Amino acid sequence: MIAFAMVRHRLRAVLGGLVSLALAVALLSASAIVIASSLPTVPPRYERADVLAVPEAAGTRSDGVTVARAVWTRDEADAMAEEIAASDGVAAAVAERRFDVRVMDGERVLGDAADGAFDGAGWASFGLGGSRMLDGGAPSGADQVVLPASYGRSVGDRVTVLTAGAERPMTVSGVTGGEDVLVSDAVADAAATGVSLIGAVSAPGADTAAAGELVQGVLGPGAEVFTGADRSAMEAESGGSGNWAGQQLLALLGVLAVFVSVFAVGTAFAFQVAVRRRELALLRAVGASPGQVRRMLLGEAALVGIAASLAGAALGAPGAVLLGEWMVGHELLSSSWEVRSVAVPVAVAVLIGVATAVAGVLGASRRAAAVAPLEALRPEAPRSETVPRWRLWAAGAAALAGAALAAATTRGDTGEAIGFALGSSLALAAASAVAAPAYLPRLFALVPGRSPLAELLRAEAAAGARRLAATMLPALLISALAVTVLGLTDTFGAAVDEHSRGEIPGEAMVMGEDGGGLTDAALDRTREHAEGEVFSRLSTGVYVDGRWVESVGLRRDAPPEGTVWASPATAARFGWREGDTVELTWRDGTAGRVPVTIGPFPPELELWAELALSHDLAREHDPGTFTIAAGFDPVDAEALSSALADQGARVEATAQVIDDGIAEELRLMRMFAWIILALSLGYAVVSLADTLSLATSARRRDIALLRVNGVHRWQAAALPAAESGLAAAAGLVLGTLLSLPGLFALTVGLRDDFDPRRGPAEVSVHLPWAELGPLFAACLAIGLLAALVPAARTLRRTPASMAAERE
Amino acid sequence: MNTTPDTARDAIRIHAAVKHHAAGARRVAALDGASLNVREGTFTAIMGPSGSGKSTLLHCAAGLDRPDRGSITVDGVDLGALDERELTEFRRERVGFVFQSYNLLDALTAAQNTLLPARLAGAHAGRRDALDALDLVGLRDRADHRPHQLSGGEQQRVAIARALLARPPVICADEPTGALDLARGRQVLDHLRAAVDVHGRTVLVVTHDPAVAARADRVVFMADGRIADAFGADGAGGLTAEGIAVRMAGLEAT
Ligand SMILES: Nc1ncnc2c1ncn2[C@@H]1O[C@H](COP(=O)(O)OP(=O)(O)OP(=O)(O)O)[C@@H](O)[C@H]1O
Ligand SMILES: [Mg+2]
Repeated sequence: MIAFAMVRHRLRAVLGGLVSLALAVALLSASAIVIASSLPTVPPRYERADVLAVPEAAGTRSDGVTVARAVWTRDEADAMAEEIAASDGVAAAVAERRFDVRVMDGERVLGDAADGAFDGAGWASFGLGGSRMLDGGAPSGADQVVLPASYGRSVGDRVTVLTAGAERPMTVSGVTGGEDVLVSDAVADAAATGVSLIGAVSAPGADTAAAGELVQGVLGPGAEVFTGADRSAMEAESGGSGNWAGQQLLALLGVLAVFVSVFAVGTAFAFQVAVRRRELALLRAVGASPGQVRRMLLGEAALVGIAASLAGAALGAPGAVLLGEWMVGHELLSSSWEVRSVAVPVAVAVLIGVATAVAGVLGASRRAAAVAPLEALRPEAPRSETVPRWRLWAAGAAALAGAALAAATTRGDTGEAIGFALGSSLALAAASAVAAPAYLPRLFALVPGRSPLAELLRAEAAAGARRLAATMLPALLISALAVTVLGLTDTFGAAVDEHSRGEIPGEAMVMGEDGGGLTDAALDRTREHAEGEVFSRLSTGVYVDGRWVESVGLRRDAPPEGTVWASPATAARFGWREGDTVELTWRDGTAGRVPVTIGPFPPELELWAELALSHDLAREHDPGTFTIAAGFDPVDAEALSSALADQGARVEATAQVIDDGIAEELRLMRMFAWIILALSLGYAVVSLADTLSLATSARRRDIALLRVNGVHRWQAAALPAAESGLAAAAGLVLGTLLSLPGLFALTVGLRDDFDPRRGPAEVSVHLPWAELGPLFAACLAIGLLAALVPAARTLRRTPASMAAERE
Repeated sequence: MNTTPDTARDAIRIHAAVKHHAAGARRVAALDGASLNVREGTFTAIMGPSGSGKSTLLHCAAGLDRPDRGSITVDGVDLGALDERELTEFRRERVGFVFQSYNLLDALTAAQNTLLPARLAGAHAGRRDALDALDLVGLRDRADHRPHQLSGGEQQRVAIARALLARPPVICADEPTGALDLARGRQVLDHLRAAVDVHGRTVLVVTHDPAVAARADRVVFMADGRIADAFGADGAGGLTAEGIAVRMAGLEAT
């Protein structure tokens, strides 16, 4: 009863906490819905397969994430699939052949290969998927193809189907609602590298779990078998998996939302306790035990938390649609994304909202319970605020962590270094925020001037250390974030811009029109128009002792035909010596013996592969994969361009490609930075408005007294404005200064991250003042406004009415 | 009143209470060995110059504060032996307190304020009890008003209703009429007097007003943290405002 009456009475006072919590929960539930809706599901192309089986994992690809699986030979796989198909309870089993494919209408690329290009498959695979045949039927013979409806062709149309090694004019025999380009199984067998998956459809009414066990029994322990919902694991491997940047962004939003809600509620309630001391003391005096006071505050927090969370949840669903569409628009989510799951993520967000509200108020409730009953009788005394020891310890610990992170920044690789630098700035900012009540009054004591207003400013600062700290916090947070994140982006961008050139050999590059790779025909035509050999990479792999070895097929720098070239690290890993003949398994599952030469890889290869072979050798054992791109010095770029048109490839200036790549990466970083900053600014507005309006109402009597004693209206308003403005300025300066160690550490860390042939890179700190300036100005303006608005509202009344007013 | 000193019990016994306040570097002795016994069912007024320790003594007697030394027994309970939680429970069960100002929670109505200690104690007190208590102070019809809708005197009376509702044996009031006009002050006093005469409570009041003290059974003078003088104790009517004023003037002169 009491908690309810209090919340109702103090609605305006808790409004700030309520609004920021509601917004945080809205953000949280929106990102939770988007996350839950982009969790992997069973890919449509395997929807009808009750059992999916793949060879066991053998390692990871060069991106460090994608799983590289072992390999079955075709004969092995076909025999096993046949055995499975013949078993009871299984209607069909398919040893799938997949390959890179590009369908051309003359010089125009059909379809949209953005979600991975591994879309070619044999007709047998159609039986595994859930899509329907919309028109026509199965491809018969070597010159018929079934296309997805999205390719915009109809039955009977003529198209050209490009695979890595062949170019086939074909007639469209059917159109499906799916995503795959389906050719006859014989053509698929020739085009694919090997069998990467066996799918089985169980007989009607048969138990899928039993079918799964049966498949596992046939394939043996060297296979992984998925049934039911577990089949969604295949989505990540079939290429169309979630976007890394998008996932990062969503995680970031979630973390920020939790952070904001804890902070917003924590500070709102902490401040409330300070403002409501007399009320709490009176409760204690008439017989409320400390426990009751604590429970009352927790009850209030729970009420506020529930109300805010429900409001936030209501905003979350439409927010998720907006967020999702925006992310799809920025290619941060796959274009097929749609809201799939709402109830669970919203429930989780609401729970987190209520929990953070209660957690945020725990500390404040403990302080409230410690209010002595006698405090009801004394005026709101400026209690001499000694800074508790734990604050200084915590600040010291955070500062140490910041220093350690800055030190780590100089060592980590680029990705780590950026994380460490950000961590360092945030830790230092946290340290200065925690210690703020200790040093801010001293800082304000330095304000010069002998006017009574300056004296008042100093005195009030000395008495209100916590208020000052709360006022400074948003500015500190924003400037630390802004300077660090934008500074990191610019510093990193400038460094990459200056030092990345030369990593791809040649003045020009040939690449797929659709972002996919190159056919061998395109590569050969490029060689005809190039001066010297082209630098091309066919990304493949071999197995040594069953372990994946990331390999690359080369034109330029290729080892002699019939041999492989190992980096010293790879040689050491398997105990190879120069001239050894080693045994390995090729990408297509066949066994081989080749002589090995050992030598260091140039930087442009080092990132990509552990083993190099000639393009032809790689192609012989991996016919299904496009070549990534080719760098070269052109003889006649125009002639080449027209020669490449029917292969769906184009020529670009290498510098332009690199610039575009950097620009794209920076665009993402900048977008992230601005999302963080926009959210922080929003938080700052709500939290400052809240803090200062509470502070002003708490000081109403003092203001009245000042007015009674002849202080002008503008002077009474200038006082809080000056205090808030100074605090914000202090926060901005501090945040900037505390970001510098991390940024400088980053420049040291980046020094060794570029082409070592040119020695340590010169990297300097870049700060985008053009953006930081307006941002800081906005912070200051928010600080001033947040102080002026409530002060002006208070000052509209006559001093007498304010003085007479009860608390 | 016709009790004999031998058979009457003491509602409050304060023995050699010492209380220091640290005001910056200086230590102020607010209580310096004060001893006072208050008999059950009496009305006692505490007077004395400003800063003499009256409020401090009252706070200690009501369990709002603890003396540094000395013992305090209220209604047979030794307060020194209670921990913070027990002291809180003691307060809400055995003492009603009326402050000079700021008595009520703004968020609650008069009735809710009246019920607060009982509700905190988990007692089965309901709106009827609140209305009855408010009736005693003539504010039944203001039960649903909030403090800001009440005058200062009405707020004091709500505080008295609150002090009466839980039927505590002891009621303490610190300058309850200090901010009130004569008529309102007299009303408040009437209620406190009735608490003693009709309900047999023990009332301890701090006041600067000889007219208020004249309504008491006994008047105690404090100076420098000690009890300097006491008289009365023989029942109502023996004290006059003039007599008290004269006696107080004499004390302050010495
Ligand atoms: N919290 C405190 N801190 C420091 N000194 C205090 C505190 N409370 C009371 N004192 C001092 O203790 C002494 C007694 O105070 P007390 O409030 O008991 O006086 P009083 O007799 O009630 O005075 P008045 O008639 O003015 O209310 C005074 O000198 C006062 O300054
Ligand atoms: Mg007093």
